[in-house]
Amino acid sequence: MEKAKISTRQLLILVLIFETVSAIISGFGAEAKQDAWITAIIGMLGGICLFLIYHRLSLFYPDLPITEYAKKILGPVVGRFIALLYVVYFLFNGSLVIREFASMAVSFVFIQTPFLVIIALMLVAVMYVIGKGIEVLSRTAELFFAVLFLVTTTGLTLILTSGNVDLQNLRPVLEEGWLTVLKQSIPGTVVFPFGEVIVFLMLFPYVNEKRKMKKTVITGLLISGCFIGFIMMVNVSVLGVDLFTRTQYPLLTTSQLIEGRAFLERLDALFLVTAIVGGFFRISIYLYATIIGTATLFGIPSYRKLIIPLSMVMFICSIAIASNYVEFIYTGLRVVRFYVQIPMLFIIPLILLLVGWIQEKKKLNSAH
Amino acid sequence: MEKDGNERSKSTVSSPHWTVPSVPIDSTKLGVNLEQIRQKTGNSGDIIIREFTIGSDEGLQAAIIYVDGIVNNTTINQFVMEVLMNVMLSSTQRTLNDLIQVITEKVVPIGGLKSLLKWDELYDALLLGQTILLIDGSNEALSIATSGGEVRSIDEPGTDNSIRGPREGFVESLATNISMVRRRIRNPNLWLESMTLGQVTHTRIGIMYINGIADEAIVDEAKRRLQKIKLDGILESGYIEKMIEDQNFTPFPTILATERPDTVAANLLEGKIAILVDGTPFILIIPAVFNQFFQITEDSYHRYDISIALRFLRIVMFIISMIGPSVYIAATTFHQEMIPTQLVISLVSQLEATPFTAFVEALLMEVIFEILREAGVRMPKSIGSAVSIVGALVIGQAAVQAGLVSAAMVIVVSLTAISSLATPVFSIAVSARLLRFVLMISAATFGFFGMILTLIMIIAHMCSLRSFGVPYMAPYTPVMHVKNNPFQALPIWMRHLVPKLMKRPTTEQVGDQDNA
Repeated sequence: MEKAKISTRQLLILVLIFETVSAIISGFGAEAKQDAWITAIIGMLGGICLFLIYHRLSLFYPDLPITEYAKKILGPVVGRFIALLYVVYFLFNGSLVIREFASMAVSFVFIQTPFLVIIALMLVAVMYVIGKGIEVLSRTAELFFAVLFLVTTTGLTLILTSGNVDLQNLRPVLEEGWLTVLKQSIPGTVVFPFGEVIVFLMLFPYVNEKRKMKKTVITGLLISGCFIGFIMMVNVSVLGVDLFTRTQYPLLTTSQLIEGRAFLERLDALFLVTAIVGGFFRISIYLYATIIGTATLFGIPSYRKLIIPLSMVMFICSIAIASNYVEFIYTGLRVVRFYVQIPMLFIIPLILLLVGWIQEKKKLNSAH
Repeated sequence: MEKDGNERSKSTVSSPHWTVPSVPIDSTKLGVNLEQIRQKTGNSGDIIIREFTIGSDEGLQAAIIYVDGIVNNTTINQFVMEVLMNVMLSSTQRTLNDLIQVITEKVVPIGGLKSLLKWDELYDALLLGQTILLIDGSNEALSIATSGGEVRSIDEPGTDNSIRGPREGFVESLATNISMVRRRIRNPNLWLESMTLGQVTHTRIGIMYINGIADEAIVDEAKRRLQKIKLDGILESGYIEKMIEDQNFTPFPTILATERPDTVAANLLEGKIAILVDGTPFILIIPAVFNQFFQITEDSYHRYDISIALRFLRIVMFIISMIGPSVYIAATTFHQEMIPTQLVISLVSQLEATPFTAFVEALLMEVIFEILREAGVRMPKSIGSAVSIVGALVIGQAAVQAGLVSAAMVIVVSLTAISSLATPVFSIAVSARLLRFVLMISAATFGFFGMILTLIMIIAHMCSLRSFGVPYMAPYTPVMHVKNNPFQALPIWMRHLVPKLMKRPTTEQVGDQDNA
């Protein structure tokens, strides 16, 4: 743990960048076809429910990250194990994000560049910024949020005025019934991206106004859910259901369809800017959580010593995670979603919450 | 002790003879003291020692010592020599004990008189342009304020020009500079603290702030950092700037230097602290945040809507001067698809004709421009036109016709150069100049990807900077309410908001500093 303070505004921005960018760039809810936007809304609602658990959990020990209070709640042995699980989880998730990002960059810009180089470069930047501390990271996010906002507004304006939007593509709503949509949303969109807000449990101790924390994160989840839903609506209405379900990066395809009336011929560059900035902060948050988690787990006073080794681990992990893109998609979507995300995002926090509750009750009883 | 002094002045190599020990003047003999001064100053021709007798009839042997050129000769002649030589002293006043007091109280009609008992005080006073009076039989010296001499008269500032606003700029004299600030803020709470820095040069430094507005913690911190400076010489405020910065390893300036008294006054009113250094017209203002380098005091003199637009324009110019060539390189090398097709065709046909890649071209042109600029700064004015003619040839049509660079590159480089020159504060324009090359390299190797990662690192670096504890990117991040935020640059009558940048009482509370 370092001595730092981040404001609720910065927390909101971090949540927004963290939740939104990755989801709008990679395909999202494609199996639900034209109802992808509904899965976004349901995912958001589920994410908010999960966050309420996390928030209640963080109230037990507001000044500690989850890796610390797991020890206090479940005892040193089990607690340590749980903390270790979380550290590995953050590391693993971070590696997934990097790999996804690198695959994207390689597939449409740097076709001849090995993705090792992309990953390495990205990690160098991430290491530099994390070395400056969480305060600097969140301030940088605050500034880059303005850039993202500008880019997104420009892009959306161009897309919406391009004449490609056909709202008929969104019909019929709920063609395949609620059940299909719900199946896609739970656990699919609930865990990615909304449930991943659990990583902010590592940042909560730094927030300066703890009272506003709950409101802030829920606002962030609401905004990002609605925004993702909106982007999915735009994607479907521009691309049509068929193309939307087939394309790897729907938003990229959407923006490539814009004809050059404006000074910008195609919006690939804007898309790339969004992807890099968003990917950067997502990776940074995961790596930071990993580092802080490791530092608290093993009682290492200066987290900065861990930056280089853990970045190396993340680097190797992101390469070793899958040997090709298809395997990566399989790992990322199927395996992780069911065997990793559900226990980490739902079961363990719930157990922690219950045990914590019982302990609190006991304490209150013995005090009387 | 005198012997000791003599030996020191002779053995120039081994001992630090440039220091004057703080020892009392123990000899009462005029001749001995004068001899010691002659020895210490190496019989320098500009140290004038004039011996005379006090009183019109056979009086006391005395001498005045002053440094020619930094004193006001008229004052010495009229109000020191003349009165001392013509004074009628009664026999009781002649006793040595009373004499200094009598001279102070009744004889010399000059404001600043001070009695000195130590050698180092004596030399300090002498070299400040004061006249030293030594009297035979007394080991007490008297310094008389006669500073003067030729200094540059107040003139328009060389940098920091403005369309509207006062025309005067700071000069090299500390006293004049202080007076220029005082004339603008007529308030007893405008405090000045003096110190002398530089073990050889004994340069005078003034720290100016408005008591009650300036944050006391920052004032103390500034004083603490100044006192820690151990340098032989301080010839310009730049020496001090480097010693008191929060962080040295950064291309960005964290201290603002200005030549304009109205800028200093405006900043003092905002709670900033000014550091004045004798011998330079550049006054340092601390703390200085990034935003401050883009807002000039003149903004407040114009209509606010124009000012907001201009401030915005300046930031845009700064960004262009930083990323201009790299965007061109990235777009032409990696992201041709984002350029309209017709433009791409014409660009490619231009690039066909040139032998180099966009990066090499840009590097070539940028380096040529930097050379021209450096030449423009140092060259004698009489050959200025030659450089501009040659410059127009090198960065211009001739270079394109020679097939060295493409025409588009000329436009990009010129735009970048103009943007960089239009940035109001030189020190921040320089940082963009440096970072431009870093960004060019990253754009040439990894296109927008490399560029954006570099930009993220640059901005993270800027966010990590602090100027005397104030975050460098404030008020943008962390968000703060200040009256000079470009996005809320209000008309002057609405600016009752006092900057929260540094916590302190409002302007209305100046005076009762107890609540600070």
